[in-house]
Amino acid sequence: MRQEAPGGGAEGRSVATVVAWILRAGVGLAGALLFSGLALPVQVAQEVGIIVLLAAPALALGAAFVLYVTQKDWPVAGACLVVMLVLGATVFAAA
Amino acid sequence: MPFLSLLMGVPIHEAVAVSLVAVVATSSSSTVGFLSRGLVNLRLGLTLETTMTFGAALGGFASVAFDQEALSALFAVLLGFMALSLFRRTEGPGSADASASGGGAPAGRLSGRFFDQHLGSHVSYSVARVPAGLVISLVAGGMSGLLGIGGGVVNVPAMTMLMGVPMKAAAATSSFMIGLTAVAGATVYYLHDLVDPAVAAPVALGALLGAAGGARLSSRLSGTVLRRVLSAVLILLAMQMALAAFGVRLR
Repeated sequence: MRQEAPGGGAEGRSVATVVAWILRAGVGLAGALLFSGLALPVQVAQEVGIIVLLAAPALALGAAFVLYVTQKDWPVAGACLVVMLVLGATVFAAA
Repeated sequence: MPFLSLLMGVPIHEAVAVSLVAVVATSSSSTVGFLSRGLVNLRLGLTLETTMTFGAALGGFASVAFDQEALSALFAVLLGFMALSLFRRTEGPGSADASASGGGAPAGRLSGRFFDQHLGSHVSYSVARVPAGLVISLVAGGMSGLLGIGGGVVNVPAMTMLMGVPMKAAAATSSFMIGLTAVAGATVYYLHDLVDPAVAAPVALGALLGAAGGARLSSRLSGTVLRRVLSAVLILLAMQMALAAFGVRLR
């Protein structure tokens, strides 16, 4: 049922599993915070919920980079690094 | 975003910002399900993401300098393109390179293989024309940052028709990519104080729940019916946006 990347096999599946868990945790936490921000008069919960929501994909990307480096899958690890650098440069330039 | 801008009167820059937050929510929620079903080609997604994120960052900065009428006109054109793209899209794997089989994955580092529940068998595919895909991802990223859309309307047809990726894998991989892309644009807007939590929170919460439900529903409903209904809605919204571009607001 899972993606079987050539040259990756079980390694490719482990990256997908870790990325899925990080996104699942981010979605769950952000959802709880956003809901509590709506149900209670606590605007900070909404603010933190949005930050968690935006941070989850970035964290997943970082985890994927680390896993691909440990697997010595340099082309994909390089792609992760480029994406992280562009995201970081964007945040830096906007700030 | 059109609903926020046209029906709720949210300024278009704030509507774009909230829309990007909603895109991240939708992507994260749906990608969890797609990953568990093995539909996301992470290697391909991360490769294309190198140019898509760059385009989104450029678009995010450029949008601050655009006026509302110009953005509305651009969005109207994009909605029309989306409607035509959705209406013309065909069923099935959509690629001569894709094949249903029980064998292993084809050669190539970006190729992939997944189990198609509708076909009841594994689908193996290889990826062609990666350089062209990188260029199109740059354009898709620019649209995402500029207009607050996911970029998938450009990426999915490109991956399917140009690169030979089956529709299900393309849609799932694009879903993963647009979350990363939207993070760049949304962060720019957030740092410019254009994300209003009071508006973004309910929209994001709805997107989280809707994406989770939509991912489950998508396997039960006919793709053709869904695409045609969505095409009709997009055409109506494109007309409303075109009017807004000329200063006519329907509220």
